[in-house]
Amino acid sequence: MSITTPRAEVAGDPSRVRPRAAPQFTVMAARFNPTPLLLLFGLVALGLAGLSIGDMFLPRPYDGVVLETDNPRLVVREVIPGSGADRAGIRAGDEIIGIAREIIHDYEQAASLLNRRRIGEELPYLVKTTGGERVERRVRLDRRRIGDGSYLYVCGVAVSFFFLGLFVLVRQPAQHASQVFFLLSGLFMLALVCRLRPASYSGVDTVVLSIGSLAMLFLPSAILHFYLVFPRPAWLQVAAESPGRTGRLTRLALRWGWPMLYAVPVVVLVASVLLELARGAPGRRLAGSPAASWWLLVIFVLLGLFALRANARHLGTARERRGVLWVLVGSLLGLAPFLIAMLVVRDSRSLFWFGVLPLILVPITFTYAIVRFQLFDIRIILRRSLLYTITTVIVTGVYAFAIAGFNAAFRGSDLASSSYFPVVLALAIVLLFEPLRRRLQDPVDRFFFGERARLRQATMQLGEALTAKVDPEAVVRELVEKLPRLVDLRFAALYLLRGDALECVAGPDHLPATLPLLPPLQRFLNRRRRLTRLDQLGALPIRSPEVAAMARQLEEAGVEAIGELASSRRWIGLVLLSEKRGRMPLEREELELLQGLLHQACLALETGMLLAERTQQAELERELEIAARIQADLNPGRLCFAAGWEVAAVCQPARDVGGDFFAQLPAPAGGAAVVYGDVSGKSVSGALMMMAAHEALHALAIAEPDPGRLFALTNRRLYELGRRRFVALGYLGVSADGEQLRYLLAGQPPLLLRRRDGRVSELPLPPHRIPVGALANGSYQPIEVPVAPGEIVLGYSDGVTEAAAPSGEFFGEERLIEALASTAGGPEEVVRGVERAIAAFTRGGPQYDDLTLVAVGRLPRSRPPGRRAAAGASTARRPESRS
Amino acid sequence: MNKVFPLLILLLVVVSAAMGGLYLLSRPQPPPWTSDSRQALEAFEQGLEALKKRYLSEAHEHFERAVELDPDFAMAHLFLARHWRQRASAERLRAVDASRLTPREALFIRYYLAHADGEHDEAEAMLARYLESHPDDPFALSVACDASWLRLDWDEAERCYQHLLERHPNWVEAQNRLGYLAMARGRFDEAEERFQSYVYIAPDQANPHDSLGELYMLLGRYDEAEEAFREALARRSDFCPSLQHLMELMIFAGEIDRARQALADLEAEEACRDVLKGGLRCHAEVLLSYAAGDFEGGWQRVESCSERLYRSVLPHRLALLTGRREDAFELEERLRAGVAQEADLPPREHQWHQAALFHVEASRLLADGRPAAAAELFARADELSTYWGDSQWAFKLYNRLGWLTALELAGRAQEAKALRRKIAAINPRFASVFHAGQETLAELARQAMARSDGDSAESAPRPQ
Repeated sequence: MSITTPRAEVAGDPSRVRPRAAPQFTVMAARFNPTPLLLLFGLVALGLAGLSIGDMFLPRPYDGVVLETDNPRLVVREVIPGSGADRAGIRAGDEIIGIAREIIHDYEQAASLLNRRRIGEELPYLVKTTGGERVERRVRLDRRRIGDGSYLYVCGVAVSFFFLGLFVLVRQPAQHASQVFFLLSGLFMLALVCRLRPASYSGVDTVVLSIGSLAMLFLPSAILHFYLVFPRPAWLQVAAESPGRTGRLTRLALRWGWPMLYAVPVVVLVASVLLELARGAPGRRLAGSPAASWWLLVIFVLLGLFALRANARHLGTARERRGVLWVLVGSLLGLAPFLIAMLVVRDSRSLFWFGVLPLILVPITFTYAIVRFQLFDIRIILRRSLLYTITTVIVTGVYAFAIAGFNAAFRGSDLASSSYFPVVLALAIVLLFEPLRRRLQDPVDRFFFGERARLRQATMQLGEALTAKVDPEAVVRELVEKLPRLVDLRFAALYLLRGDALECVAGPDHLPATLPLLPPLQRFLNRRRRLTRLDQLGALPIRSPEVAAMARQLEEAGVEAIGELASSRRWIGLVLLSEKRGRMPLEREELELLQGLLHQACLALETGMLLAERTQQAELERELEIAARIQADLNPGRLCFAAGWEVAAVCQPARDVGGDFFAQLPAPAGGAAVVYGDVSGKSVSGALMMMAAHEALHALAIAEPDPGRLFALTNRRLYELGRRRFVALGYLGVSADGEQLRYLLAGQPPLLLRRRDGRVSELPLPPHRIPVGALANGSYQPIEVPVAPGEIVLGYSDGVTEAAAPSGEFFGEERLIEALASTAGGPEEVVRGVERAIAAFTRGGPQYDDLTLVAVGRLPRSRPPGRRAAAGASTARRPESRS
Repeated sequence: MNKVFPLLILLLVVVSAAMGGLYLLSRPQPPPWTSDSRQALEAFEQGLEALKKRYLSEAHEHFERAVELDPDFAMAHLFLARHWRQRASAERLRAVDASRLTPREALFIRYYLAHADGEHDEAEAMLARYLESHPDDPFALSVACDASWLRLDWDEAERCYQHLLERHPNWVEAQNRLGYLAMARGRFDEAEERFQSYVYIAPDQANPHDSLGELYMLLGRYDEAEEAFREALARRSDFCPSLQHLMELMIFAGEIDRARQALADLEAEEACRDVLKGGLRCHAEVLLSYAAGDFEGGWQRVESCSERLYRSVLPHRLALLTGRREDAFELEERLRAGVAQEADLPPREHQWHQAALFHVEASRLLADGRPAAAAELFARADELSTYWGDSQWAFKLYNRLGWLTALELAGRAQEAKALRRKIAAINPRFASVFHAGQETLAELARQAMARSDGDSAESAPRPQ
């Protein structure tokens, strides 16, 4: 049975393994890596933002005067109660003429002057009162921070967006969209932190505001650039590859478009300034930029959102499309109010509430899209403990508010004054806290870890399905088809060990059909015992160029991870996994889950293989049983010999089938002779040779009963079979007069003669004793020796003398002689006696060689001659079943 | 690490460059004036500071010390030549090697010499060229603004001083000049604001208080004026302008005794000897006599120091009031000749002298019983006069008093009423000081008119 699944049936997406020709910008990105420059830009931007924030929140000298806006003169709108100005007698409506012995012309000069002073310093103010009188007031400067809550909020939004961009860049430094996103986040941060702030007129003010203006200048281009390439420039690629003018124009735009994109705001700014100069009147400024620049931002944002929508339509998976939709909605809801408010609203308070406050939606939706839909191909694994903590904090906060609310609601009432009230409240908290936390935790878990739970469940189900199968082919099919769907792989492939190579039994066509079996890789995978990324192979000291070459080959084919399939008994093969769709790498948890699945698959495969092997073995055993029966049947159940003679034989194969045998052949002068043989080799091979020898002897004996020629012919026949097998044969017959034993030994041990007085001696050996089949030619001469009545001749195979005790000692000839000598009775008794002696010697230990004993003896004279022997019958014992 | 290292190098280079730039910027700049002696330089800058504060004697001392320490100190010589008309310094300037001076110094010297040689247009052109390449040089700007003021191009002067203030808000002299410009053109509120700002900016200086006091004096706010002058003198007890103004204030306030005391204080002040030398003592004594109604005594004073009083109109008036027509004519001629001869005087001076000439002619005509003609001349004098400091405003008001008398005697009651309101609006107390003199002149005029009505003759012919 083969474990092969037709490769064409395997699910996967091999056609997308090799990347398509990249459009111009990604090719450029491949040549020049801007990530270090971007990081430097980010560092500088963060530094400047920090400078701006520090500048805003550093305590500054403050006089307590709030001036009228939109008034070129420094007229006091209000005086902060308790401030230095208030204590000095400055009132609303007064006009500040001079500070610190300098005549002040505008607010900037005043602020700059104050910034150079110290907190606590007393300064002379020249003030024109509402009555028209000019008086000098001495004002002591208090402490103040220019930045307020709204600026802090802006900084929070901006910095969080920046760090989101940094996180994306660190996770995906080579991705063009992530690079542009980081640039955008940096510019966004600079624009908000450094430009949307009140002027402090400090030394850093000019630098910070200038940087903010510069960031505002390039922000529209960055926004549009980002939306054109996020999450990937699918529609641009499609357009670039389309035939005709559209394709040509798109390719041209891609080549030259990016620098032009960033030049447009500069051109618009220059044109605005030139127009203002031509008119001779300054135009309206919004956060330091002309209104035209803000309109350009609006246009670019709209174009960008359209481009985003177009990109989304070309995305492959629903998950990505949903993520992009969230980004689109978030951008619209966050940016639109801001842009409208900047262009329309004049009041700073309204600008904050209607324009700036919704900006938080931008980083929130991006974060959500990344966490939930793995945009930018980033997978975030949230620690459960962190979410637990957050949930607990939220619940605690809810309780804190509830307590505060209760206290406020029932303050002064009888209930609040009751001593039972705090007890009841505490009990309520204790009883309800955990259920509430769990109620909150469940949806959070489902939200954040739902996919992970689904993955685990799906993995478990697949594992169960695998282990339920015993057919290895079905296991392979199940694994290779379902595993990619489980974690959104492009393909999976399975290589099984065939001889000394790995053959692909399932996988996409572009993978090689075979892989070499590389011991270093095998050892390495065996040591790791888990799925390994290909890029981790190179880092390890395998020091094998073949492994490196194979890793390169597989990497080019789109393989990301490799793992072994191995049980405790054997090494089964390799599994290859591609990267996930969307070029996302496999996460550690996913690898662990997959590894568990592969273990189950290993078990299933091993079970299937074992089952197949067992089935095969059972069949083999049955065959062996049959063969043993056949073989046993070949040994005659009853032996005939010559008249006046007795014969007994036994043959015990060491295994189910053996190489020893004995047979009854026709004797030349009539009657029968006994041949006993011992084939070199055991088990099935020995048995087959035994069969050949047996049949050759029988067939040839019909034509040529003479033992010498019989053995010669049998020798020739067996030699021609080849296989370097030979047979030790022994021939026992009776001479023509029936008085002598005529025997031939070819490879068998010498015969033993037991005389009537119990003495045992060896009979002479024939001159040519080479086992039959060993040489091409053999000349065999039988010997005749007289055997007196009551004497027994014992022939045996070397398995008798080589029967081993548990200590390893052989039975040997001496024991055999002793057993022969001590056993009274005829051939039957002798055979049994020797058997018993051997059994007692080996004490039930394993039998390593076949045992054959043939005993012939002349009947004692007590038996009337002429009585025809009961055909010299004796028993030939079949081997016990060894199953 | 290979990627980070170049960035670190770049960062290091940038930081080093920034620190180097800061160091270079923080190094002290070379002084703007060329001198081999640090002490001379210090003395010169002290002189500049004193000059800014109008502490003239102190400034003079410092500049003298500067040239003493460094005889080749060109700028010190320039200031001595320009402000104190020291001939030696002027001669020294012609021998200066301009190549070793700063561009500003070279300009100032060439500018002064060009003016001294009568090449006024060339001088102004030189200054304009310098300002094109150095538009924010406060010294050059100040000189340009002063030139505009001297040319009586007061609009340009105002713009110039305002520009100077914008570039250098602490250039207090511009604040003072703008105040006087506003005062001269009758924008008294603005002038008060300017002087108040001047006081605010430099409260420890005497001149701001003095300038404010002068305005208050013009406006008849004598108490405030006295307070301001006292403030000035509290800062600087030897501030001669304030001592002089205090004396004049007492006169205008009709407090003759206090005026005499103020004069005595002025005379007692050694630093003011030079000021008094210029005819101030005579003028003050004549004014005191006139204010006291002692016309004869006043004329005696005039005769004792007439050489130094030719620019004053009081001698002429006293001559008329005491019946000395020939003396009046002679003073008139002398004034006319003197104006014609001093052609190098700035236009402002010429204008004032012309106004004074018109005034004295008008006074004579009035005394001759020709009020209508006198009124015309008084009007012309009024057009040419301003409310400028240094008591030129007093001349304008005094001229208007004469004009008022002429209008009344000419029967132009409406005009007289309007003029009276104008005078009262500015300084309601001014007329009372000179009431006696005005009445006397009016009486002379009526007598002359009566005579001419009786004889049907024109005014008495002028003596040949």
